Amino acid sequence: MNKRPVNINLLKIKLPLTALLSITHRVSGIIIFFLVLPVSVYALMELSYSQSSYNSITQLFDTNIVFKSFILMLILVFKYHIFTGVRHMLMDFHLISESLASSQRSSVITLILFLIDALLTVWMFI
Amino acid sequence: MSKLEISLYRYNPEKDKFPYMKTYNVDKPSRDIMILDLLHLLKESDESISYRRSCREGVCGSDGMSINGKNGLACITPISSVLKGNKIELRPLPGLPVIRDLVVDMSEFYAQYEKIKPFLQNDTTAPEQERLQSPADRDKLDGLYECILCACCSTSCPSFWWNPDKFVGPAALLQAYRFLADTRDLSTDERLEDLSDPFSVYRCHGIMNCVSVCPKSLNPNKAIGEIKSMLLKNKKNIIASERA
Repeated sequence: MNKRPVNINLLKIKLPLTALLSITHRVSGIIIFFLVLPVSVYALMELSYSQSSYNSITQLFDTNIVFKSFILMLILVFKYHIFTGVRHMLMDFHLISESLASSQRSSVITLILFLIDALLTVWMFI
Repeated sequence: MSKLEISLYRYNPEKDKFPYMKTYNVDKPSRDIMILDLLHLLKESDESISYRRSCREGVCGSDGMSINGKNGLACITPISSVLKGNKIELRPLPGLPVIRDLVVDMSEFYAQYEKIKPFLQNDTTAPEQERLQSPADRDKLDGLYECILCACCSTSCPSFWWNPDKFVGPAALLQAYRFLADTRDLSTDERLEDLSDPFSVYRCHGIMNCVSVCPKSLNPNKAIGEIKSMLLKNKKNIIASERA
């Protein structure tokens, strides 16, 4: 009885934009917990430890393009989580109506806002 | 005449160790028929194909299945609305154990429905004729009572895939709200109490898969939002009464 197969092939299941936004919100949350948070705390520790450690971090940031891109990526992940998270909270407070149409609209608006913000962030980094 | 390529999920527990996809090529029908009619056509050539069907007009909710990746009722889904090139892929509802081909075991789904006590609870003496409701109160049930329990929504929900035993799921939660919103039902507090654990309602994160697949255009997500608000209000009342 228990050996019955279950049809769950995620590649074969069409997800609406609203679902993709929610799932990526979750994924970004996991990345924040395991990567953004530890790296930020470590960076803060290093930056505030001594003048020399401060210099070495800032120098690494200025000269090493890989390190700089990594930090940029972490910031973008964090921002994405905030943008999609605020949308979820607005829905929880019934401030965005829970119809499919308005939910899809708010997803698109969230993505556009995030993209604008992401472009500005990248521009600031360059 | 152009051909249709139909990829069908096949599994016969007596013969097959694992499920597999089988491709059937049929002449494209001259008019736009429903997916269920297409399955009948296939069954004429291969009578081992199994699926559930009953009313064939979107009322009984027997023929829910995954059609090109989206859950829907085969009997009211025209071929033209799902065709990708000339391909159609039919799979059983995701997340539930497959008994054979497109037939799934709905026990877990019905168990959740049973859990929300889908009947009117009112211990006061019944009036001679019927319990009356104002038209405004009756209107609150619109969009809730129409559910046909086809399971398209619950089986499109990742939270239900993960916890089919603990998360009530969109279909049963819609019905839970149907009785919470009913002015004639008097066990609102008990119903809310039953739903207040971390899994029953709160596994819903509003991803809207349920709304996007519902063949009756209902909105379980909105009902779940209302339940969450009721739970919050209830909690606040309890805290306030404890303080007083």
